[in-house]
Amino acid sequence: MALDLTKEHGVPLEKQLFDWHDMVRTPISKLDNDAFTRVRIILMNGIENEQFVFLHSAARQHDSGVRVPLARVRRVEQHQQTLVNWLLPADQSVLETTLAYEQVAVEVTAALAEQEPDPYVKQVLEFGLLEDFDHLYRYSALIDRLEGKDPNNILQSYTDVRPGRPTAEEHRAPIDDVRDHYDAKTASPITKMNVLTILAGEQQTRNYYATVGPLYADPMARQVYAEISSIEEQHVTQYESLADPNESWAEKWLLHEANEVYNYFTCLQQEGDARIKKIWERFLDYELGHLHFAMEHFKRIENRDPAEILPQTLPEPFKYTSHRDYVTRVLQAQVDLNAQGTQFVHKSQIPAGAESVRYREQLNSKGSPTETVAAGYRWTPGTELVDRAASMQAGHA
Amino acid sequence: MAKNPTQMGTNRTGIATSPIDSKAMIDSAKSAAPTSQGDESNFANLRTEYINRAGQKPVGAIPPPTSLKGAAQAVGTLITGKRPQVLIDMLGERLAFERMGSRIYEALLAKMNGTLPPGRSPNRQEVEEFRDQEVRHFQLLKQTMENMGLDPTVETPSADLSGVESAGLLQVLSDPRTNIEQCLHALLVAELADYDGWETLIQLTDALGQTGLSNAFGEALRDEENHLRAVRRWYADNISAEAGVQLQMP
Repeated sequence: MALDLTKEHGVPLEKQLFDWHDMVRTPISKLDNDAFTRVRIILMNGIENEQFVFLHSAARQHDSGVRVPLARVRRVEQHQQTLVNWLLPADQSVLETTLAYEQVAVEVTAALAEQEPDPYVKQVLEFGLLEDFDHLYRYSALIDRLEGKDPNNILQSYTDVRPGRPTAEEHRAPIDDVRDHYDAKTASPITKMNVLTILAGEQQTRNYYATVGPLYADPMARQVYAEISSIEEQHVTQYESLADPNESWAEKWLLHEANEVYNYFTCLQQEGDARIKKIWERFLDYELGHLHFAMEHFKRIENRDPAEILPQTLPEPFKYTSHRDYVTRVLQAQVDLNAQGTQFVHKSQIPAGAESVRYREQLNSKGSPTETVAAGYRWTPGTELVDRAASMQAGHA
Repeated sequence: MAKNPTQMGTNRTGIATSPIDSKAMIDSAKSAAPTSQGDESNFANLRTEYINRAGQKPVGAIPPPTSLKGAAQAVGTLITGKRPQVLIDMLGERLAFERMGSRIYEALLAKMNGTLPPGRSPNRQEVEEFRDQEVRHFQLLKQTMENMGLDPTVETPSADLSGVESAGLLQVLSDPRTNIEQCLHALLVAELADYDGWETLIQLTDALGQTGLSNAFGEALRDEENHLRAVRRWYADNISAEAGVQLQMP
């Protein structure tokens, strides 16, 4: 069922109210909740964070009577983000949350790529997918070898743990990370939504790693976060470059609000936890309120009809589900690709002296942390100590 | 039963939750070769490299005494070839631990409100008494440090690390979802360390010839012995009641 944006007005901004008890709720259970409830919470935190960053940037560059209206919307987004992100429980360690972030990156990128109609944008998503897939493998090795924990306690068998495009090969010079952008006049609404969604997810991931990396005492963990955080910055560069820079800021505001509506609607359609579902429903109504608020300002600022930018109905929700087969197919077909300018070529076609090759040789000149942490690592249920214990037992037999 | 008892239900963390997905995941992991050779020793080598790194600094330093009297005591010990900074560091650690200990007992008191079934240990009065004893131990250490010309507001390296060690205990005790026996287990970990902390401090003060201190600290050690015995009993009582058996703790 698609959502009709002209008929659904949601809750008006002035009725979007919170108190601290409402905002700070009982978190989900790390042990009992379905992994996709956690995936949704993390992505929606990222969606709210992107909105917050975008509206701040807009307020710093434009007046046209919107600075106070933007501040009003931002304040609600702030409280929405708090309510959503605080649903994560305190027994979920930083590294466990990191695994969940990578599960978001793998499953959501795959879902978006699967439904993406623009072949170039689809290719970009699949390219990024294999890189985040590899990060999951590296962090899995880290949690096994640092904390003695099984990454699958978080992943719940939905997402594979094996190498993707090796992180050590993902380091590229900026010239090979900026992509061609879609054309705002011809791109389909789902392409615009996909670009904003993946950008939000990757941006929060970069911010999270940059924040939590120094919380570790272990130099291996500090190095792994340093290395993967750098790739996440490349991903933010890649995905933000897909959006048409010729869109006006007010047009981008409309798209951001529409994407929040789309994402809360997508969560609402698939949430199995009744308590969390109510939150998605409430915030869908809040975002519809924000969208109509933005539409009114858009008419005033640009003297245009928002219908020129927005479709009447939003696209069908993407699927919060395991994409094992899809990811495996992409892995088999594309693991050896790398970027050359805005295009993707087999890595053997990239000249030895290319800027990206020199760039990664410099960064990896004293070794790549993600290679070190996962040396000889294969995921085994119960951690790799299961194999060691078995061989010790066999030795005594 | 206590609030939030350990119960059967849907826990999705194990591979048995989804046998088909788990089999696919295991097969996939087995079929993929690692991209780098070696094993955990590569991880260990990096740790060693950083440990031995030129310019590697300690967590922090021990500040010297701030008064002449303290300095004289410290110098006196130095002349005899002993290192008083170990004592200063440990006094700082004990002070920090006792201060935190009283907060741990406050978290336990909050947890007991409404979650402790009638007739179940611990007794509120006893917990309040233990909390107050931790505060008195804190005061004893504060005065001891002041008498030695030391600044009791300093966070010494071992004080800092005791905070790192205890961070998980506080997370367990302050989480609204944890039940009484889960909290008592965390408290037991704290009291085991607390007891050994005092015992080590007394031996150290004896060895450094500070017998006046070890007498004062002996009373704290007796309190801690009592805390440890009681917490073991509370824990065993609660586990027994929840499991429907009778455990005897040492």
